[in-house]
Amino acid sequence: MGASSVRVSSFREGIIAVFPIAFGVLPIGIIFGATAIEGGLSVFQTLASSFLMIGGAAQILAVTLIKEQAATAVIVLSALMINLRHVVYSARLSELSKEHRKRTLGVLSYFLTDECFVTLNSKLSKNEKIAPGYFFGAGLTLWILWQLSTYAGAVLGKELPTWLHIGYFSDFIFLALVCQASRSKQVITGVLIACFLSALLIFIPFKLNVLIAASIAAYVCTHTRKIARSL
Amino acid sequence: MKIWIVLFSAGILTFLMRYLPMNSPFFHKMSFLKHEAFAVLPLCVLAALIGPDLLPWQNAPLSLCLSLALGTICTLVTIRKTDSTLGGAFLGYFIFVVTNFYLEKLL
Repeated sequence: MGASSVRVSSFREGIIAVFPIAFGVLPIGIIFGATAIEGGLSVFQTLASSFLMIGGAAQILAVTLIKEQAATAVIVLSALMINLRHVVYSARLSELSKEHRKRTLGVLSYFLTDECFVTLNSKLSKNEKIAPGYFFGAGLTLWILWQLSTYAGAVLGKELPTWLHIGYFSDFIFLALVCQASRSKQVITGVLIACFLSALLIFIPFKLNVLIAASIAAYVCTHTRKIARSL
Repeated sequence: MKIWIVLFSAGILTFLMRYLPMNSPFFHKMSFLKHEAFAVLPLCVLAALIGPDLLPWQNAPLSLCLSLALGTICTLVTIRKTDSTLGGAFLGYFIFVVTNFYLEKLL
């Protein structure tokens, strides 16, 4: 088998592997598009956001904060905190740097999203090598679906009736993500502290209550044992 | 202008987060990545963001508070029972919208 046919087959393999979870991004993309339009972004800005950031939670968060007129630094910092997990994903894939050129990795890392990492991780957990074509196939499929669903949401967003309270959908998505990931008592404590503290500190300007509450909660829940011992 | 500054800075920094660790084999050995706070922080940011929306005690109508509470419970129960993030989010949101629609007329 020639090198090009190997590349094509691994590209196809990547598309097939990501397919079952790829359709999960469609509703989120539509909701993001609609939320962005509701938040005051133009269709072009909404599409630019999906092109530049490709991260559902961070994009919805940024748009929500833009709508609430938070300070620029707060929006960027909050979006980065949400995206911190990408550092872990990327570090997990650092084995790739031994075999592939930086330019190839530069292109591939652009496509590194949650769903893409889940697909790649299933290979890594079986100690299988990840071909760039496989990575590209999975990432590109997700990217195309994300852009299309964002566009659909941005166009349909104006048509959605107000009683749908579309802005609240992102809250339920975030709630579901938080609930799914909160498995230990320690994390649940942190999440509850962040939730209540942020609501209590709502009077703080520039939406700084989000960052303050999150930082305090993360500190408290990771130092619970030490704090309990010192009491 | 502010929107473009946010989009470009968040976009570029997110790209660097995805690119740099992959290109430095030493990156994954850095101790801060293994710190628990690093894993918990994104969850806390999300929780802090939804907190004021899901706990709207300031001048919020009763119908909104009740329907949000019902939607939240629905999401939590669905995720605990079925382990489906999207299913939980959709069902919670659906219950919220339907309950709010009828409660607004009733109360």
